[in-house]
Amino acid sequence: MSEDFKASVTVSRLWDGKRVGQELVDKIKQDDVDPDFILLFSTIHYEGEFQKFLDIVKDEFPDAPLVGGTVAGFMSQQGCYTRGVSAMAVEYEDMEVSYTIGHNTKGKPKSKAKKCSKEIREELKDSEHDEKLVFMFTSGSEMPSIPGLGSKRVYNSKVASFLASKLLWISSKLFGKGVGKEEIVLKNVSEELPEFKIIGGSTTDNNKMASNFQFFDKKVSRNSLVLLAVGINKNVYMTSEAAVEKTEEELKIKKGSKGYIIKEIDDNYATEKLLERFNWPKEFLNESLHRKTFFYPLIFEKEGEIFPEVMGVIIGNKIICGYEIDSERLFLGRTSGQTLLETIDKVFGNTEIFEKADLNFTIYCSALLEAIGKDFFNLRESITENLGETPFLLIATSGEDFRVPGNIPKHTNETINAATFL
Amino acid sequence: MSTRSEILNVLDDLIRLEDVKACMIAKKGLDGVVPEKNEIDDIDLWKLIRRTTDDFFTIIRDFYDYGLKSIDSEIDDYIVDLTVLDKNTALIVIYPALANRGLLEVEIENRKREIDEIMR
Repeated sequence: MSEDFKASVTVSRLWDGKRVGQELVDKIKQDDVDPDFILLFSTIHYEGEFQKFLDIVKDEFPDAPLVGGTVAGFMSQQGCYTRGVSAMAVEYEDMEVSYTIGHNTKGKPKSKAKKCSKEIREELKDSEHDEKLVFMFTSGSEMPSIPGLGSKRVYNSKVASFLASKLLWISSKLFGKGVGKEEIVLKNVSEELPEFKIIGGSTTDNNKMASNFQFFDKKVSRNSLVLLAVGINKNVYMTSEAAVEKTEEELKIKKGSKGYIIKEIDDNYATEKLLERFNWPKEFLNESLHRKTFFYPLIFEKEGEIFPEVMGVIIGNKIICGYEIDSERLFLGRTSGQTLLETIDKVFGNTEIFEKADLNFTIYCSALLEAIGKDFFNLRESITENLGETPFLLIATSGEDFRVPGNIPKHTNETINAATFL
Repeated sequence: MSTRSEILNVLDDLIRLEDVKACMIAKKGLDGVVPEKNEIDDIDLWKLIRRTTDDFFTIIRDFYDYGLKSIDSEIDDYIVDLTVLDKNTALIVIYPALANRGLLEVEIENRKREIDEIMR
């Protein structure tokens, strides 16, 4: 690690929020890091404890901007976890930092993204550093709960489907729940900050899509966007790989009034046709369907890039995807543990780069984490083989954001995106 | 702290996860290590599992040398997940069939590693 660049990636597995905060602080201090910024992530198990650990960390490091949120899990040199709290603290003199928060991203994704980006631009306008990077964390999709039915992933009956479809659209306006609209946020942040590299993800819970939170200093928010940007005198090497294979199985779709709904596939009701194309019986339409569909994402292509989509919810004959589908043509995708290992090799395989790395921050899809389970530990072995002892933090989010200047912004599912400080 | 107490601490921590309904360390021919707390609605099922754990070890013994790592069974609305620690010891975790299994597996693996360390 360069002498003047210091990073500490710490994990706490304690349960009490105050003790968690103190443990994170103690470890950051042990690593001799006086942070210029902190990214902090927690699993949803700590709901009710967030404020306690944020207070302690911020009281100890009041000058360090802090952003983050809830994630499905994370990985570091310490191990792999789907319960715990992690922090990445960075100290570097030759760097300017700006951060901001925008609320109600589900209701007003465009205006909130523009507002936040303009604040970042204004604050960093005097930065002399060519390398500029934004970390962005946006509230991911949250399924509204229907009285008597709860929050579900598959609505089979006509009455429940009707209620769910109405509630899904109304609730984003009234209750800040519903589809995350992160692709709109990313598009607008990218437009306002064209010279910035962007890495980010959708905050989530333990893949139940019931609730998620964003952190901004001591504030705990919902339905919000947090951005932290740096202008830095270092290189940041960016890599993005889809952890899926695109097959040549094509689907012609008709979208609903919202771009993330598939109403028809090949001129038939979407759900029926999907089952037919997969050769799946109707009995598969139950609450564990997502465990199968995680392995078979839908994919669209745009400007030579592939965009994998996880099928989030089935409402009667409609399929609700994680984000807007920007095409009328979809392809069936597939993934497996082997595909994931190969993708990790692509992301981390450039030994010349990673030998020089000072710090790596990776965002990984929570659907992939759910799909591979304990094989997550095999991925860690593969990553640490390439990174050696370089500190790294990998978080699992329910959507991934990535952009390098000159390329189109990508909000996707089932990808692995990395930013490595050299 | 005794080995048993240390293992009990690990299991007490695991059962704090919302989806973990019951867990135990089963030892062939011996009483297992079982936390006081369990949240299985069908308590008879839990009693049956505890009573019959020795039967699992017949299978474990036969397949251990072939690399048997775990046995999963879906019983009613539950998954019974048995992770092999050695020929005579297994971690048994029970969670709802609809739980997000992949995420739980990561924490079960962490607990397995901690218990391995304690038993070493």
